Amino acid sequence: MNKIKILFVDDEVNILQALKRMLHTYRQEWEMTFCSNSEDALRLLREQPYDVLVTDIRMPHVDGSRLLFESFLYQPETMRCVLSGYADRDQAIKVAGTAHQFLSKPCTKDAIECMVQRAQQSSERLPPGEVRRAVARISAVPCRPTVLRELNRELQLEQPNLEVVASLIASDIGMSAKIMQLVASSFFGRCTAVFCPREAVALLGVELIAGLLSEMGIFTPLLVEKEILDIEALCESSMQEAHAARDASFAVDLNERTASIACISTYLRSVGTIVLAHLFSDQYRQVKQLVAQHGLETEQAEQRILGTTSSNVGGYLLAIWGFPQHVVDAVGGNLPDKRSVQCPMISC
Amino acid sequence: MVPNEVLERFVQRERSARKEAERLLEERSRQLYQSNATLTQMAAALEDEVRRTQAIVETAAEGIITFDSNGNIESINCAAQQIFGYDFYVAIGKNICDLVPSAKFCDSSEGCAINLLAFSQSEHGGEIQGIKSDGTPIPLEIVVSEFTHAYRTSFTAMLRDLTRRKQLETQLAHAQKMESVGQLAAGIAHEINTPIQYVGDNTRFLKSAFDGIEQILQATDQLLSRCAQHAELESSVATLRALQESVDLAFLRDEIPAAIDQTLEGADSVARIVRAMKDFSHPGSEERMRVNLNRALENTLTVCKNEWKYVADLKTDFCEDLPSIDCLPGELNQVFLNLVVNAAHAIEAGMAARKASERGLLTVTTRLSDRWAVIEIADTGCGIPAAIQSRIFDPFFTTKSVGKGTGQGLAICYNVVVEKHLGKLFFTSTPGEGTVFHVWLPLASDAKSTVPPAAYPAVEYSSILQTE
Repeated sequence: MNKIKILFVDDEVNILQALKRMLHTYRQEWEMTFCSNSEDALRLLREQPYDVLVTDIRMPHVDGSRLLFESFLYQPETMRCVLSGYADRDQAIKVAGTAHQFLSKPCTKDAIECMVQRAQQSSERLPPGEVRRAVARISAVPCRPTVLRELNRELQLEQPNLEVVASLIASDIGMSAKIMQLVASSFFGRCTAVFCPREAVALLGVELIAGLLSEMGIFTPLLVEKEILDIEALCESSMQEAHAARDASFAVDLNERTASIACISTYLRSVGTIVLAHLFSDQYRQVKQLVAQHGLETEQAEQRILGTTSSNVGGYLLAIWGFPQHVVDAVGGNLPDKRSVQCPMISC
Repeated sequence: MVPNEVLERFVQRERSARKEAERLLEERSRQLYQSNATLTQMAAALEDEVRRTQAIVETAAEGIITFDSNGNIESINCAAQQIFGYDFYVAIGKNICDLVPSAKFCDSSEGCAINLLAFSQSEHGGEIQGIKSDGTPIPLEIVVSEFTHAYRTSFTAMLRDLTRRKQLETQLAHAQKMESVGQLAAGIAHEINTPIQYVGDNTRFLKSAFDGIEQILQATDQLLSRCAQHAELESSVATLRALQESVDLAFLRDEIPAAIDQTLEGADSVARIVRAMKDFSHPGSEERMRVNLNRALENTLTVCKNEWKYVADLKTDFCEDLPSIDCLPGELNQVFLNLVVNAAHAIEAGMAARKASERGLLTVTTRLSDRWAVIEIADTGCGIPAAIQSRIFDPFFTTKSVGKGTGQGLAICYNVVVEKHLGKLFFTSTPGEGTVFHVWLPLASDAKSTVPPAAYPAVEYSSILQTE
């Protein structure tokens, strides 16, 4: 098995040396490069591929957001992770779209180990190739055009209403996924990770969300014909199914947490479909035709046309975004060897 | 005949003269009457004017006092009576220096008026301290002007009570201070987190490194005892054993892992405190946000641990079902901090009063009551004397010595809880036994509560997965 290649970048040499010592135990499985000069790091990133990039944000000359962006452009498949002690609002907004995971200092060995395992596991879900390259590069799962319009309108008001913003975001699969990814990090949120999109919005605050929209344009609408994917209907029906899953969990006496996991996993189950329809709309049209004309299962058709399935794509995306294992498994299916990483979404 | 004629003419002339006189008299009377009427009218108008002027002066929102050049008060309007708490007739007997002592600045009494006049014309023509009838000082703005009436020089002082403005200024200054402290704290947190990261990483490295070394040492022990059986190695073994003795290897092998573990514990606890500080002070929190009250209280208790840990034991009883509420986190943290610090001070004061050394108990409880989140902060301190219970939420009211309290703490708490969060803030206190402060916060802050509940229940990851 190939060693997993990781590049650590931090202008503080002490941090790098300590990481190097602490992670020495993984030398058999990980090939680690430590770089205290972000200009050198930039060169390294252009020269050779890395599986994982872990970088600080505030650095002289070339800062972390620039590194992340370069990697985003030239090595989209690299799992990009922020490890930072402090970032102001503007810096945080800058990296919200390009980084996959956000760790805040101080973080433990377990958190780093967990993150690297996620990277390994995600590559098993979706092998390298055209699809993975495209998926790893999206900042957010495309959203319902109607909801995006409403959200922009609300955020342009002098005093946007938190409840309205929360309801709008909760009514869209892609927006919900993004906000939950961000709020789970101690970096954006306050270490209070939640399974509820509304709660996530309330915790992030309207101001940050407005910044993400206006400065980063983080959400893009899904603009494909209805025959390929009817995003509006999909979100509505997913919402109903999610409620049903929750009710069903209660009906069999599962506790509140399990019910919530069931609920959010059901809601996010279609992220892969939305992403594929957005990135590969022509191929996805063929998938639909195969299903309609030859009576194939969607999975089979996807496999035949795209070489992978929408659940693989969904599982991959949620894994690199650091979603909890339960949710990743529910969306992407269990991995064949049943190996699962039991670690928190983000350490805090 | 001639005399008759003469007489006739004479009478006639007399008659016409009389007529003329009567006419004149009548005219004069009419004129008199008219001017009398005009005068009466004028007098009425004048009286009306005087009443009007009096009414204006009396009802003016600002205090108006006139005094002669000796400072003797000649008139005082309603507003001024209220500001100083004097009745009209009492005030009239007073000197302006009794009300505004700093007017005594000059030697001569006349100087005092001029001094006031100069003061009001000076650049800082702002604040001057007055004394109320009950002796309490009061911040005033005074403008004095001079006027001459009936060949006598008098002075008019216009006064404005600055208490409310001062209070707002103090609150603003306090808020600004808190904001800069918050920004500073966030910066410091960052500065501390970087070294904590590598202190922790290095220590974890040492821990795993020493595990490896310990294994080698165990193998060495075995090797050494086997070598000891060989005569030719005897001296080498003895040398090594002596070396081991001299560095007390057994001790090192016991203590090094313990030292490493304690260092890790210390680093973790520093990280926890820094995180609490960062959460407590997070700058830019003028926005309403959803806050977990239990966690906010934990943070508060962590950041001010130094205030209570020497005088009290802490007992917390948090309701785990307490939902997060929408609030202004920075301001609410400030409330919790004030109440906890007050509780600690009360316990300290109680200990001093009883000359006792046993520690007090600080109890922080959260619970749900209908549509309210209830926070109770109880101390076993000195209690609040009944005499001052009604005043403790008044701005500037403090029992603490100068420099220890601004008297703003509870006033700010009241403002934040009651006015900004539409909550309730009250206390129950038994002097000598302790006080409980109750903070009631509405679960839904306003009409927004009519929106259907969240589609998904909020669950924290940490409770599902074992976060460290």
